[in-house]
Amino acid sequence: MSAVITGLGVVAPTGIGADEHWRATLAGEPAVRSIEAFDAGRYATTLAGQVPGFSVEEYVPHRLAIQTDRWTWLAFAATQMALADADYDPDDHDPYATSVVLGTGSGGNEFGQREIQALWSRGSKAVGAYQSIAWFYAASTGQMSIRYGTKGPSGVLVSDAAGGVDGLGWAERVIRRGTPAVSAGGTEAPLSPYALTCQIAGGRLSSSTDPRTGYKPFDTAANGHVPGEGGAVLIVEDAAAAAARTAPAIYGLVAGYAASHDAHHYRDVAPDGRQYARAIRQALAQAGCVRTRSTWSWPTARDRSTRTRRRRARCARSSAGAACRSPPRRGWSAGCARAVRRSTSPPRCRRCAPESRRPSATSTIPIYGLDLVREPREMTIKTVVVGARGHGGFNSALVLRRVDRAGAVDVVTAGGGFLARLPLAGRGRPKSGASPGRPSRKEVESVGIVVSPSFSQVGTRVTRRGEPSYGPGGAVRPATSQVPNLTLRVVRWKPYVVRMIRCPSEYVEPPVSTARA
Amino acid sequence: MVSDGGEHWLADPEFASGFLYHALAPSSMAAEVAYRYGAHGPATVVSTGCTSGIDAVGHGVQLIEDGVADVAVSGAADAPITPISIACFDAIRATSARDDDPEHASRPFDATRDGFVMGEGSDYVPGTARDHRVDVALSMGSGFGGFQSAIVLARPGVTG
Repeated sequence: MSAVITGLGVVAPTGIGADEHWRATLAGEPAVRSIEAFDAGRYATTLAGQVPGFSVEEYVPHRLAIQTDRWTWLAFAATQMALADADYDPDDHDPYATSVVLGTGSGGNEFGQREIQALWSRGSKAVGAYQSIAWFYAASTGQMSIRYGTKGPSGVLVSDAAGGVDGLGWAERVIRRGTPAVSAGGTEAPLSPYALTCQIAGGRLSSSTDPRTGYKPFDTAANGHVPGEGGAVLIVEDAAAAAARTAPAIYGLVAGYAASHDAHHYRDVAPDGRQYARAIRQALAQAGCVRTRSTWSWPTARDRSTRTRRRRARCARSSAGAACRSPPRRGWSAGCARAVRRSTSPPRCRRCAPESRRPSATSTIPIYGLDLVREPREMTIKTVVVGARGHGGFNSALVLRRVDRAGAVDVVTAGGGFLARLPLAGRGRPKSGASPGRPSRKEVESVGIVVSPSFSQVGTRVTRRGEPSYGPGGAVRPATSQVPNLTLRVVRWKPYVVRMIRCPSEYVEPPVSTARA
Repeated sequence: MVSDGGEHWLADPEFASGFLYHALAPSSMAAEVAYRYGAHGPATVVSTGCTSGIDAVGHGVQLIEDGVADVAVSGAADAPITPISIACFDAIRATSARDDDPEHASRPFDATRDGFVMGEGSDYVPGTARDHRVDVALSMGSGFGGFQSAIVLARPGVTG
């Protein structure tokens, strides 16, 4: 029993609908703009990723719109689009055959702010009845279940920015345990003045007023986080059930999922990313992408032959790109699933390209040994890893793969982000003459690794003494060490190839990039 | 205050604690406990209203069954006794109006019941894989509030 994605619904600053989102992503259009919903001039942060032209009336009945928060409206829209895309009507199925699993970060903060202001300015009698159902975290899942009459086992996950990926991981488990279809994903609308204040007080937001340069994740010039609203809902179905009802599209297979927690700091993510890498490794292993040492003999560092070193160097030349999309919170999985069909790697936002010490005619960034995708590039990528990190140390990783109509795992996926070449189990044919047990070149596949930038990758606000600042004061430290913080690099030609490298304060040329043939 | 007593649609960061985001996002529950005990396994907050506690324990059991974790600490905590929570539950008349009789205000299953009484509390149970010679323990999280959040926090497996 395997879980496949059959429908996409995206509501993002890059556009409403998966097609528009993908078009804007391929075009590298910046989606960060000045806050329009209210006068943000008195706030330290004036930029945000906002869904353009979102019409509530189009997706939410008026009666429901006044009972729910904006974050639930986005879920209504994304769910409606996903169900339409999958051509899946829950009414055609047993009510218990469909589940809803959605993630959220802060719930209905806008609705809550209005009611709290009413409470303190006009008294407890002024608090509306719908506050009790609008703000709390289960509201979106509950409202979707009520609207579509779904009664399967549902879930509400709160793990900050990792919640959307967690929702898809849960969906796979719900399907494995016998429910044929799950509407999974997550939305977030953290742009009310109260929610913005909470984030500003945390001291991690960009204070830039220029939309073009305000948000530069993974960049040496990163200067802070920019909040964004939006999200994605995906229809995840049992592969057999999807085939039985001849679903119009199968975007990909949820091949692996794993989560971990840094337990490093009550608020900050761990700078070494060790637990993040562990989650990615576990998800890859679950998907069968990484062979274990016991089942496949690999050349190791003890192999001193020139040939082995060259092969290792080839492996290390990972093609890579860093996606710079907004919002930073959710929508990554949907982007990947779209990429699964199109076999195109979306470029990083052009205006946010990291500065390179040694600009190259090719798209390689020498200082990081990464191949950055600056323009859409047709390429064959087998598997996509979607990684997410949440405030407080949550790490989640999801592995997506393409399947053909017969349900067999097939090739060609792509996604924005870092692309690392990983050995994949059971694919390709050994070269003639190659010693048995060793991988041939054909068996090395490119794996797209899409990572959502967490707070540590977007700059840190510091005090004069250089300590992290969590109050409104302090300056944003120039993020000289941002990219390697999250560099997933093929370190060695051995099973556990994905390793997170902690960034030194001064860049040190990694040995793998100097070994280029 | 830039909102002038709630008149304007603004909130003032000057008055905000640096921990405010920590208070806004309930995922800090799981993050705090994981940090406190050094648990590197999957951690998440399951927030399904009053059923959060049971859902969290169920999630912990599934993590152990799937082999994701050897030990899962599951449970729930809630502290909903705040002016806004009381006010909004009063607005839908879900709470008992017997304010003058605390001892008899909460009377579930009674013919003369007139609503629930808000409560706070927490309860956590560890669950362990069977081959650790301890059976999986199940218990409900406590708390009456509809704002119940629960966390599941798992230790990584030995192979992790």
